[in-house]
Amino acid sequence: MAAIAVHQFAQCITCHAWSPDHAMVAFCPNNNEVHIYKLIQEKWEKLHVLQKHDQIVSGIDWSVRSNRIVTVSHDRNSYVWNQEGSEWVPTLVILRLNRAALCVQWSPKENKFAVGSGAKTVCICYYEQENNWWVSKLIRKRHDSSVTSVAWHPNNVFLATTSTDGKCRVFSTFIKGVDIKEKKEGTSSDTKFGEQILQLDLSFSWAFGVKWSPSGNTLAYVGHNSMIYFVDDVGPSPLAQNVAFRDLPLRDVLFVSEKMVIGVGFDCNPMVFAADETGIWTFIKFLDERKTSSSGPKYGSQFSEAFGKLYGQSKYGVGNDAVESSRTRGGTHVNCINCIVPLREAGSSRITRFTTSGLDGKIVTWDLESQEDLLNYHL
Amino acid sequence: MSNTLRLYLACIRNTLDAALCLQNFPCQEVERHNKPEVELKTSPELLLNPILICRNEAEKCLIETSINSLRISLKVKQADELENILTKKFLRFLSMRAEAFQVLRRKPVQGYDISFLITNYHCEEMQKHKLIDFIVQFMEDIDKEISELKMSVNTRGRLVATEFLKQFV
Amino acid sequence: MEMVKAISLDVVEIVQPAKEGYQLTLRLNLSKIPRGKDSMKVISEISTVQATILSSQLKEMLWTVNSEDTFQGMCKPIKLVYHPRETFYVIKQPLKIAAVFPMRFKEHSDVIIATAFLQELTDVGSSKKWAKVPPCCWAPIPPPELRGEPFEDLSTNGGFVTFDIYPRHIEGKRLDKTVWSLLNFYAYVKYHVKCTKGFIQRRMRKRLESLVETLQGPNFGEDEQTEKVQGNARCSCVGKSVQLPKFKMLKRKYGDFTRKIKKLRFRIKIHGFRRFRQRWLTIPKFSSSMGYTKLD
Repeated sequence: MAAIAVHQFAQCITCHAWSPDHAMVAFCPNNNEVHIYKLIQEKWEKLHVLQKHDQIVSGIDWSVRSNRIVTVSHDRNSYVWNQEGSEWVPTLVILRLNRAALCVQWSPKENKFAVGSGAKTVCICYYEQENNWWVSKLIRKRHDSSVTSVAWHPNNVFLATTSTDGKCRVFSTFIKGVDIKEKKEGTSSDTKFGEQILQLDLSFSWAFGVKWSPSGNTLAYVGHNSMIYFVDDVGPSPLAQNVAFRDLPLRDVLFVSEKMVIGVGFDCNPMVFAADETGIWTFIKFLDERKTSSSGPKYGSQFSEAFGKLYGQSKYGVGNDAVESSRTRGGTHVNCINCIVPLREAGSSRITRFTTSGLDGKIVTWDLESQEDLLNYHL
Repeated sequence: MSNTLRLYLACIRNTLDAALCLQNFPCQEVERHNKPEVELKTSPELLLNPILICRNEAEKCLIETSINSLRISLKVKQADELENILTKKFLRFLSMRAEAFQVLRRKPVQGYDISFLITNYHCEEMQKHKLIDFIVQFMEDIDKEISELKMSVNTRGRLVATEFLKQFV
Repeated sequence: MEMVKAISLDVVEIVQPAKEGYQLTLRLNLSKIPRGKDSMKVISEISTVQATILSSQLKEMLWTVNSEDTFQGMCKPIKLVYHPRETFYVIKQPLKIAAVFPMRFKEHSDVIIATAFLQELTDVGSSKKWAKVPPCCWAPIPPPELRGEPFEDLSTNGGFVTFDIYPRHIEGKRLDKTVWSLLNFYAYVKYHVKCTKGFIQRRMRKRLESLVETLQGPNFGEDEQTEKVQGNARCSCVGKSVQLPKFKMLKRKYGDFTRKIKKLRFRIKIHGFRRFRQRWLTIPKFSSSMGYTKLD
């Protein structure tokens, strides 16, 4: 079984993040708090409750090297939490936003973090040593609607965003004094702060969950019209692929390797997408084996209705009667999954484990090692 | 249950299954607010195209979806005056007790008999398929209830009339 | 007619002349009302005075059906006022008397329930089994016999009901019954409408309960399922401590709610019951008045 651990932490979880050593997990139980649990002798115990926000916490990220937690909330604020002794000490970050903050991510070097907001802007925050203060710089241009997701390119400069205007954009976030100019690759780092490098207008509906592949060569994001988009060669002449699937839309994606992506969303079951040798992406399978009692009569309802008539209503008709309850999801998650986080092994670029959390309040750990059929994609 | 009704309900069920993909989404227009976008309609990009499912002229169902909320409005068939007032009575009765249902809108959308408003919070508290079951069951029950009510009102009338006429004998 | 009251003991005294605008004024001597059970009887007799007067009026008219002095052509309709808003007409025709009831209701829904009832009434009345009863019919427009009556008397929202009374309906004992039925026709219909509305309300409440149950169900289902998952996952369950109280709370809440509903329903039932009893109490009262009128 792909799911190796299931923990019911709360009634509903908006987002979660792991400590660098994976011994602690921070999550927001759908309110203004962040709970930190630690695995102590095979038991999860609540260690801390971070209370500073006054509205729902929409994003948490835990930096790997500096061991700092950044949280953003609908109350328009962001805090960076530092562990001092046994306490977590918050530092308020003035985001200069007038609408809710929706998502947050540390840059790979962890000297910056990006916040997407409902004010149709993106904040790039960096630390000013002399003032002992986190400063926020805004990318005001371009977005026509809320920014739903942000993702850092491994080069620490490029930032990809998705928005409810259906577009995916890539910006440069070069900040003088924070980022060092890389001489060898003039093209990528030359650009000024806030400059738009690329705008992808592939989706007809809202776009969510953007991610870069580990190398930064491929970009993946999802549209609410049940599509996932893969973009290679991000630059002046990008190559885009649209993959449509017949299930409910996705909320977030994760690259587990250059050639494999896990998508999670409203179908409550992680979906595996992979690229073959020619670089064509396809849907492979659902990760969670469904203990389905109603193996999809939904899709074929009209179809099997016709069959029902043919076979005297007995076999097929029953299943379609309106008394029948809709598809009960026999999977591990029973409600929409909205967050997927890798469990990165130290010193390895491969990701074999990741966790998902959703509206059902569970955090599920998944392992790809046991999935033999996926091994060849998973290098 | 008639075949057409079953198809009608199945269609609504499938549409709801696809449409009930809601998420928490704060208001873009007003600071620190979180409102059902389908009611506000201030950001057109956050609304999806409404879907109208008709069984016939008299029975239809309008599903309007936004990023964080969904509104489903029903028009219930009313074959005659009696059904008409029974439906009105019943639906008004339910609307006045909307708090018991959580998802019931106190006022129906114009041109419809009854409306539900489902927000992301309902999806968080309840399972989606149960919500859908509820809506479909509700539609079935309304139909059943109205025809049963009509029948029993008529039977009552007949019995009472008989009693009245007995007095003359 | 006035003799009738003389019999009601020495408690009541007819005041002559009657107060202006009234045909009859009674003075009650409260001290003479007997104590105990008798007092109820006396009071009810006094209160039926009006009904008695009217019924005797109607009775007289019905008597004339039998009298052979049939004039040719139609007679002018006679208006009977039992209650300011509930007048009805009695029209003498050759061989029969037609009683026409213009039906008026306050609410639209009342009209429809009543109409459904009246249609049933005509249906039942015209069936073979009920051939003996006065034929009745319902029409949305006033019958031709009422032509010439003031317009406001002919405007209704519930149409017109006509009973044709033939001599055989007023033979002997039947006369009383017929009079009684006709006089109380309005009350009867109104009571039916009221009861039906109560019945609808009760049914709706019941249905509401069952619908709420379907919606409340999800939370329980969820709890069940998560517990199952926890069992399956063979891992320490942090959630358990969080889960259980919540579950209980929910259960308590739900219990509270159903109890409330039960209380609500209970009260209403009693209420309806009382009304029902009242109704039963009034019937003997009226029939006693009937027995009493026989004396004259």
